[in-house]
Amino acid sequence: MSWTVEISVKNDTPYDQQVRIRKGQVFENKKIGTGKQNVAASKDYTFVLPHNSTQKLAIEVWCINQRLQSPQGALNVTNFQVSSDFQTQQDLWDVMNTPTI
Amino acid sequence: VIKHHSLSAPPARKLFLLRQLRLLYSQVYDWLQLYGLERVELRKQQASQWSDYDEEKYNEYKTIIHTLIPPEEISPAAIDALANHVVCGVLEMNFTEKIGDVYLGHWGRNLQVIYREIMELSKSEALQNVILAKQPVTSVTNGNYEKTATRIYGAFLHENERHLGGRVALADTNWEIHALNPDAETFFFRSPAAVHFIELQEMGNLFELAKNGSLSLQSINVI
Repeated sequence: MSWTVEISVKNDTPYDQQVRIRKGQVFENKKIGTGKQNVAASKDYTFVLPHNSTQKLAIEVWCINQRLQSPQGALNVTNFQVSSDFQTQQDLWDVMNTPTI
Repeated sequence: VIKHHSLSAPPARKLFLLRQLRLLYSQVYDWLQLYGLERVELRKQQASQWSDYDEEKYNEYKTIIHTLIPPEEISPAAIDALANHVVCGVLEMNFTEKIGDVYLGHWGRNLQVIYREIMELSKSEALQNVILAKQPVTSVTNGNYEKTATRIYGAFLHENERHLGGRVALADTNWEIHALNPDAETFFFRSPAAVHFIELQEMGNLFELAKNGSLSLQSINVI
């Protein structure tokens, strides 16, 4: 099943901005070891944020840590993206369950 | 005590082995250039005494001799392939010939041994790229993992106030992978690449815009 990450974001600039969120973009828990899954975007998104505006973005995500509990609560956006392609939740778990070492 | 990963091969050792490999190969190369064809032709003439003689093997032998790569140009893998022929392949018929006091077959075995060590050292170098640290598994517990991971993954971002990170996803994922290998004796702290994370490269991504202050993230919640 998929989940939704809701992002409240403010464009602090005086011009409109295009924002991209790539498939595989990782969102993480606020704290190490919560026992809850971190998540990754299930597809590409592109938004245009009007200048000096606040918007709510909804991103469909899948879980990346199969053995942990369902995701919950507040998250951070990370500078990571899942490197391999995936088409389903199970695909994504399969990728994450096969580390290179 | 966290032991930072030190599997990398001492470069000096690897360089030494590569030089040795090439030096030994040059001896085998010279011998085969000088005597190889002569020996195999002689064998052919004495085919009646050559119990396992066959034309195909004879032609293959000649091809190998004619296409020998000079020591200064050959790769370690090609040296290993040649060594395999000397030890138990097409060139095995020369196994008991001698270079100095040593059988050609033993020169071949020495080449194999050196090549294997070079490969082991290369593997260790590759591992270094994906393991940031390691320590005995008994020293990493649920209770202290957060503290240990925070230290080892300290270079990765974790700014809860700005809703920016990377460290937690990496640490949690690394912990989960360990759970897949409960019998492992060593606990690895893997790099992002090892857990299939790559850093975002594209301009205009949400993380980058929030980090450089063009956008401010007010909240991120999973629902």
